Amino acid sequence: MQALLYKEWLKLKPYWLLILLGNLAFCGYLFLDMRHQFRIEHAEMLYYQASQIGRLFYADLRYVPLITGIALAIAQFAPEVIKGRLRLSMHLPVPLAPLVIAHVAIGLAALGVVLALDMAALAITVGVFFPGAFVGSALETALPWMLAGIAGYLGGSLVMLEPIRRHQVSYLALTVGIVWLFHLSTRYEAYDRALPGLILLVVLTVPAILLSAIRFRDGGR
Amino acid sequence: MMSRLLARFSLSLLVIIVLAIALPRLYDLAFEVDVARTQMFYSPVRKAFVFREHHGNHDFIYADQHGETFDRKTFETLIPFIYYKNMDIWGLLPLTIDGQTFDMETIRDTRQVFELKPREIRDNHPEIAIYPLIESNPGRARLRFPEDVFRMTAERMEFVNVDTNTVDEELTALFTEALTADGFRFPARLVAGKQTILKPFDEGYFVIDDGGTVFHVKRVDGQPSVVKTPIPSDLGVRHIKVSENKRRLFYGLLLTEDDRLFLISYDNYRLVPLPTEGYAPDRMDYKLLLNPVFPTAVFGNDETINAVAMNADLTPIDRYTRPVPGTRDMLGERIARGLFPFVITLDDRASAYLSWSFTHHGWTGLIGTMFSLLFLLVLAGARRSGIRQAWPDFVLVAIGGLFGLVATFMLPAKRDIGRAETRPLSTLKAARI
Repeated sequence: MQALLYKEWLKLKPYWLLILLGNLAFCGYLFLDMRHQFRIEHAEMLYYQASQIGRLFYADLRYVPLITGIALAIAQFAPEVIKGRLRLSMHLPVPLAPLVIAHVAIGLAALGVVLALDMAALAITVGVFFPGAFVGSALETALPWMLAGIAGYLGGSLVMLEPIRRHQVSYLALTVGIVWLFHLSTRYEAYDRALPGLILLVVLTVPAILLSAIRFRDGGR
Repeated sequence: MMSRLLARFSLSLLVIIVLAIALPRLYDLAFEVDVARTQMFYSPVRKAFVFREHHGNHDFIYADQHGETFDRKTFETLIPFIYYKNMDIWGLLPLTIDGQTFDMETIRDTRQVFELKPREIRDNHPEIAIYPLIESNPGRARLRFPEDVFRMTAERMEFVNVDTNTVDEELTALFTEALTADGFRFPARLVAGKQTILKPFDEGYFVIDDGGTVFHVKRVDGQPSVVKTPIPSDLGVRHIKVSENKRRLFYGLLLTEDDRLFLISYDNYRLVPLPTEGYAPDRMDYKLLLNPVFPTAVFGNDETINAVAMNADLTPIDRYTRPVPGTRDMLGERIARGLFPFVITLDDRASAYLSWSFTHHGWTGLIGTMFSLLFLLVLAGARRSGIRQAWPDFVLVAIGGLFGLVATFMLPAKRDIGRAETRPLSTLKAARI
């Protein structure tokens, strides 16, 4: 199992580094953009806009985790399914469920690191210019976006592993449906009371991936 | 086998939940009819409640509580304190009511509206607990935001400079000492003020201390102005909505935990009770229309509307309650109730927070489920695969109705795998492995 995780890590590393670099570049942009705002506008007006008007100075971050999650799912599973390589792993003396969960776990861990970095960058960016209360608010607001990234990764994996085209389309629609739920509101902290239900939806995706994997093993391409 | 069962179960559940949210929303997108809430007033002319009721599309009814209907213009002349600008244009001002004469200026100077919506209540919307303390005596025409903001910490009123994002110790000490000198006990329970410079003047903040005492805090000529108000500390204040008005009669509204509503008077913070019988702050908008003859409180939602007319001294004299026609009986909604066995929503209609709700359509919802089952039965017959093989689909539809039916098309069935398995090995691209 350790060897399997190592293999996945070796495979993912170059793509992951690329994704990480892209996210770092975005974080740099986020900071510069915020700094720019404070250079051209009076700080007290920006405070007013942020707390009363509900302007999100970090709104550009919204879809970055989603893109990251999908990119990672493609990087991880495209080579596996296109060349049928996953079938090799499936012949290992490891039951399918732990095997698939290991694959997903390493992907999630890789994604988690990137998302944690995004959150840290957001906290620093907001924290440099605003008091702590704004930082907490920004992190709470960005949390559903991060979950959308995870949903994007899991949904992407689900779609890629499914052997039959028709169901791939269904799963894509399902993933879009889930991800959409994380982007219903553009107000800060709007999701504070809705997160448990949304987390449940994301968690339900994990065993669903298993079904795709079983089907991939039993039939598929 | 176990994991496959679990996987199928969670995927089915996931698909049904997402469909139960998405399909009704798509349905609404296509067929939703908006019905405005009923507007109700007390007509000082007729001494009766009058209302505008919406019945969908462009169908508005203007009527009074006794059933008499009016055209729009007549309706507006019945509530001259609302439509006083139109009254002026139509040459109907000044007007005389009960021997009192009102011209444009007196009406404008004596009318005032207070409003409280569910999402405005403190615990119904998120707030970043950082506040600007505006200079109340700006010495110029307009208010200006200060270059600092304050926050109430566990032991002090802390000011932060917005340009440097650092604590201003001097200002913090000045205001904290002023508060504690008046007996303020940290931490604060509630900070209420109108955080805008788009108001005629500034009344600062009402701050409730740990003991429930309400303090009125302002910044006057850069110095703290703290008043310990006589508002009872055991009142159980839930929310205060400050709204500065040139008449300087009331600071704003005060809502208690037990759903009572008061005006806070400029006369030593005296609380003036407002009619609240039947008022549910988390579900109803409350509007207080002040005018010199019959101030009226109106509160309601999509289902009912209540109005209480009062004397000039705010004692109730008459009340009227009426159901709002709404969309419940409209064809589109009735079909939706038959079509979907249940609906899951995630929206911010109840408060500023997104919240989940689950609505079961009861027996009506079974209509769609029956048709879905019938459809599946016909389909299973046509496929010759037999009902026995398709039984999981029937379970899915029995539980999820139309959503379950759509799910059966989205989810892979056992037969798909069977089909794949019967393919010759070469099509499995075994060569590549």
